Amino acid sequence: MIHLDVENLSIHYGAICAIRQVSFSIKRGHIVTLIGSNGAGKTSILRALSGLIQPSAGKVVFDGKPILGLKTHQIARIGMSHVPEGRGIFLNLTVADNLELGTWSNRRKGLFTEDQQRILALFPRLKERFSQNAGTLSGGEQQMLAMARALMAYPDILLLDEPSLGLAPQMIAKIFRIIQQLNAEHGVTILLVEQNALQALRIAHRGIVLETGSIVAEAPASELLASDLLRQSYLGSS
Amino acid sequence: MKKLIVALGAIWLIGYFIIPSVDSYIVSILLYAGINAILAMSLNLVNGCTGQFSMGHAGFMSIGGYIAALITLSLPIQTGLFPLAILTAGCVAAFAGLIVGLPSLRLRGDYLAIVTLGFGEIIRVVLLNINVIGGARGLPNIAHLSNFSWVFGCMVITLFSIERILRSPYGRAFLAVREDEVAAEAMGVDTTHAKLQAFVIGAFFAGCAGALFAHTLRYLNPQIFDFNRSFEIIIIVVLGGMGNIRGSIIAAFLLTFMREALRPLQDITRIDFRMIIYAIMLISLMLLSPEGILSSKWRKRGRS
Repeated sequence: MIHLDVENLSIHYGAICAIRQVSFSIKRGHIVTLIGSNGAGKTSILRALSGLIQPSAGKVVFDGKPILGLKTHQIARIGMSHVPEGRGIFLNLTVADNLELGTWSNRRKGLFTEDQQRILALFPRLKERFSQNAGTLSGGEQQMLAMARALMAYPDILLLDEPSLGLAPQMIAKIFRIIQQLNAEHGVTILLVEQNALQALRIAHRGIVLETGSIVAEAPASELLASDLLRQSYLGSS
Repeated sequence: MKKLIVALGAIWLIGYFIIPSVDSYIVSILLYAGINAILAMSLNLVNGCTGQFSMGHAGFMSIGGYIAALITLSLPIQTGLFPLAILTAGCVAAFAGLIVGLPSLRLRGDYLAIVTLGFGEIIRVVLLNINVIGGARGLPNIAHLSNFSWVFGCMVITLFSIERILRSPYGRAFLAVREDEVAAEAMGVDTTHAKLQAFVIGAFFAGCAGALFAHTLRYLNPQIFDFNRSFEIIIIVVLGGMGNIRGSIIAAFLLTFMREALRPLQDITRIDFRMIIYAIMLISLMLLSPEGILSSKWRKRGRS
């Protein structure tokens, strides 16, 4: 079943065309990774999906409903959580405050319900740092906090923008393990934007390769991993 | 929290019994300090906690002052009417806040500051040109209804209300808007709505403070509520620490008493030293303690 359908999406910054008629769809329960070099337009697509920028043309259908034109907070409330690049943590608030803000969309159901506790169990480190200011966390912990916070809203689909950015290899492995767990155990659909293409493809079901605003390949992740051409041009020859 | 209630109760009791024997000049300074504290706390909710720099707070204060004064002037029974007058003043000021906030809160940073400054002046000029309320001649003969207990009570109510709001999910949304608007949006917070809420609540308490002010000074004139008044409130907020509600109270008392202490100097030299001292204080504060005069242990928002 198709969870998110993007049709002929175009994004312009002034006169410059950043995304040119991109179409793809994501099946429910899949991890799809959007890979490509710097400036390919990965982040622009995510920002357009969550309403942070308005695309110039196209159609986005989420759970059978068109969502283009909705405001960011409205999109967040219908179950699409965006973890932006640079994490967007509230640095001067405590970890607890950050997580509580994550529950904003369904605050009427109460604070830290059983479901939310179950998600928090995936991030034991955060529990230890509950009353600490988020600014005092390490980079990896901040990334975990950003993800945990996004998950507090019970999203159907999670948009992750470069979760491995600036992290130590060990932490990256941990983050990717959590992403896999979220998908496998909690059934969250995930759209993962990554520079770290090899690692992203290893956990993804499908991969989309983006080059200067257009899709040049879309295939099951394993096929992309095996493809020589892609290995050379996008993943670095290794 | 319990300690605070006990301390506040003790202060009120002491004040209640001592005030009648204290020089009325000192008492009036105390009242103005309390009123300034209410103004500063309400502005702190907007400027410090929600991060929206508003410069027109005196405008909402003046609306509250005039509304309350008109109510008590036009109706015969007065004493029992005072709380009603305060509440009405607050509500009308809150409504004005809604009208001013709707168009201006779409702006950010400097632009919002300029627009709110403009609105503050507009309110003043409009009041200046309404003949029924005295225009430039002012509105005299307002009943002396305000006293220590009223001001102190309103200050305590303001303190508890604003701290309670800040601990609620809505208050956390205000803080989120201050910290990172994009991230707040991504959490599902309607940031325009949140800013407007903070602005309207701030205007409400400013209106209440205006009502108290009118019945303390017993005379209103639009010139009282000029830009300098707004600026004074901003200085108190900065002095007490942006986002530090209790700091605002302490700074309000400090600044109000300091202004009176400087008065003899001003009489001798015929120079308004107030603004020079304010400027020096602001500069040294920014250099020495940008978080306000109080240490960081006060910054904790009373999470118990």
